[in-house]
Amino acid sequence: MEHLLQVENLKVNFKTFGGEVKAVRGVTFHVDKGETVAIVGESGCGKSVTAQAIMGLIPSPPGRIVDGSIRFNGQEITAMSKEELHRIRGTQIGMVFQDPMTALNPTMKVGSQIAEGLIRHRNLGKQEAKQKAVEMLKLVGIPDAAKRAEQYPHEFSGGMRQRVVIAIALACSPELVIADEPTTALDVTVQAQILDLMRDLQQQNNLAIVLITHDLGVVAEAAQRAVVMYAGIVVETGPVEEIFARPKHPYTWGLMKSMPRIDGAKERLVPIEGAPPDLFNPPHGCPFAARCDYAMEICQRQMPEATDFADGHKAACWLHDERAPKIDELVAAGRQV
Amino acid sequence: MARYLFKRFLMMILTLWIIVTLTFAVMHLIPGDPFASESDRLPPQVLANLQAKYHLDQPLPVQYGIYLKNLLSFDLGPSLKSDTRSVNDMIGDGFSASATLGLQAIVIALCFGILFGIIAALNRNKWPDYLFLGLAVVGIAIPSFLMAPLLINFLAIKIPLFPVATWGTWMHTVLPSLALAFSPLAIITRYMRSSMIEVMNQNYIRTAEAKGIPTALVVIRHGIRNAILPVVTFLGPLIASLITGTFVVEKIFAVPGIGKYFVDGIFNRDYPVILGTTIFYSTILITTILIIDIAYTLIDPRIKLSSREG
Repeated sequence: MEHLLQVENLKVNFKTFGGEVKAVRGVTFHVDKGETVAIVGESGCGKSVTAQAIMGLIPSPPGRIVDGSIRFNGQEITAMSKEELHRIRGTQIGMVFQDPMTALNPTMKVGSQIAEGLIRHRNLGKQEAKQKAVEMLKLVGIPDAAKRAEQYPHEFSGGMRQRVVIAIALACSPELVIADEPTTALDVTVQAQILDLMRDLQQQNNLAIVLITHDLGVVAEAAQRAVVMYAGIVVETGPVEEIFARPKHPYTWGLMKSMPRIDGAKERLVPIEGAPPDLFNPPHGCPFAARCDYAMEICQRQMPEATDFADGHKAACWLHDERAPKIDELVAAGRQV
Repeated sequence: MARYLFKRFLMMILTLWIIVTLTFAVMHLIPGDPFASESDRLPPQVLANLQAKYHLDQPLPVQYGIYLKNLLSFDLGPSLKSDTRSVNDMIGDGFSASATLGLQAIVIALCFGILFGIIAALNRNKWPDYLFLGLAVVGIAIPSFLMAPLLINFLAIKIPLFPVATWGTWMHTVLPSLALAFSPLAIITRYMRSSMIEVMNQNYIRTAEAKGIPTALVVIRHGIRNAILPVVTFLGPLIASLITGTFVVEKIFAVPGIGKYFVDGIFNRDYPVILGTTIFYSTILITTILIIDIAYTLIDPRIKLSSREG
């Protein structure tokens, strides 16, 4: 079966004064209709760039897609002309941005910002589009929608603005929504509301969501599958339950240990020591090797292949090569866990 | 809003009063008097009569009082150098020419400045950007007294498109307007460019692009309105200084504007002319600034007029 979105070996570079930054270095994942896939990773791992590439929004120059393909509904996005991209954006792929405080035009009424896409893509008249905008505001749970549509973004709270951003993304009923850290800038209580809202809307519209986040709590709450990225590559991917129950990559282990838990013992949080590699000259081997407690000689020299586990769970780590020593042996040899 | 405007109006009166008082004081600190150049040619009795006619023999506070009293009925007094024309006449005669030039120059500077700024910003670090930035540097660096002869030389003498100087038809206004427009055009280009670059990097521009709106429409609907505030700020003083006449350009093109009255007034110690033109300039400046402040609120809904903060 053809996936709704299939990203294959995507590579994106950015030209800077210091040289070319290889921000995304061969990312592969897919999204099916109606499911939520989370892309997880720390700042600078390439998750937002991947999202922008899917929207065709890589600023060029300085950025460019060097290699790989992004197929959406059977169409190749990387090969599209500007006009074709404009037709796809908003109508088939919507985007929710990270910071609702700055994602809305401060000098345009909220209703008009929602109506804009409808007028453009759905050939609605001004009045019809305005009415639809009010309906969208109701749909995302904004009370007194008719009045609110006539207001400006500064008259809305952060959570309400994020609802507006979601309403804009969904106005033309796209099949896929890319949400780039949609809850990062919000209070924890509002975060939960926004995630609930997105899930409701997803079920009503059979929407696929790519959820970009660095918050494992959000992943557990909202996603069915997760893609863990590190330094521009996918280190682990699979169903969320699998990744949480049986993580396979040392980076994922590190992420889990650095996350506070509500249940169980109060353990000290363990940070992952060190910093991600320099993406001007990314290492030949596994990019995590320098920070990895289990790094072996091979890790420095050669990029590991992905190993398959159950249910599409994959991890790219030499530890899972059959020639590698078992983890117990490494621990016995004096490595910290 | 009405309360705010009323308060601003009172502030305006107060500001003008301070300006009149300061100008009056400073003006009388300049050595010399209006009839200094004639004093050795005129008999003392005539001089004394002249002094008495214009109340120059009275102590300064009395002169100040008389001037304020006349000002309340919008009488800017007689010109000491012309026996037939009052300061009101001079400003009335010269203002239409100066304002015509000024307004045309502003329209030229605004339209092209904003357009060039946008083109430069959208083509950052490419040739249109360098072209317009280069032109802007030239525009700021070349003073109007050089620009004016250059325009005359090329567009009136080498290619006789426009009359060389003097005043009459609309064709006469073109070259002086261009000469006036050049440096504000350059400044507006630079303001618009940097402000547009900043705006185009804002998140809401990406939101608009993610809606599938073509770039040109994104710039028009989401870019310009947010980027234009710095230009509007610059517009206040610019309008005031351009429509109240500029000495150099009016002199070169022999335009009967009010620019020359101010300069002549200072040289002649023509006290009412100095005061009158200063008051006129200040009034226009204060009024345009008020209009600009109101324009802010129309452009950016986050800015509110409030009598508490005003």
